[in-house]
Amino acid sequence: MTVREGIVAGLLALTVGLTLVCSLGLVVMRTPYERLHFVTPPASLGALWLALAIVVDGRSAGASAKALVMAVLMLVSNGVVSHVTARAARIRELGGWVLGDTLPREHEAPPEREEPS
Amino acid sequence: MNLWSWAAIFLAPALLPCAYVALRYPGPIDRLVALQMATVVLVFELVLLTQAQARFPFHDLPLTLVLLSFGSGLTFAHFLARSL
Repeated sequence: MTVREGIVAGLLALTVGLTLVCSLGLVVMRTPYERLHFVTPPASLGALWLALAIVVDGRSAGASAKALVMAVLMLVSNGVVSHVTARAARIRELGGWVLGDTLPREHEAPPEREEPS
Repeated sequence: MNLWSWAAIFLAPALLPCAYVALRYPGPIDRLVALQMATVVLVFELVLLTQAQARFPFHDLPLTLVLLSFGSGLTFAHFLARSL
């Protein structure tokens, strides 16, 4: 095994290991907010490591360029989609996104109103 | 069998927890998160299989899937927030 193949193998092992662990994290975590944190590492670090493995492999310049573009796109789009998903979860849970629009949770007592002085 | 093929084989079980959450959990947001994770795994699988078979033009497929998943994620989240 050459040094190049060793580096590629290491990067692929990191990518696969990280993705497997984060995939298991989906089942272990309890709320959608916690689960969202486990999508980000493979979509950012994993994609970068995979793209680096293709670049180091060096069999095709076009493939390397496309893999790097893919990694950047995943990095950017995952942040946006995670935020929008968390926003959707909050709106479903509390009835609104802005603090004034939110409804009290079912298990919480409604907020006490202050008497006008 | 090369390195890329072995990586694709070892990565495939990562779809099982995503399928479990997407099929068994009651919350639609939980299912959406599982779908997003499954998309990431599938993108990696497509890249690894393309590299394993040395059919480099097929790198367009994972690239297209990344772009489409961005739009679908936004759309699902928008409608799950209030309408569905």
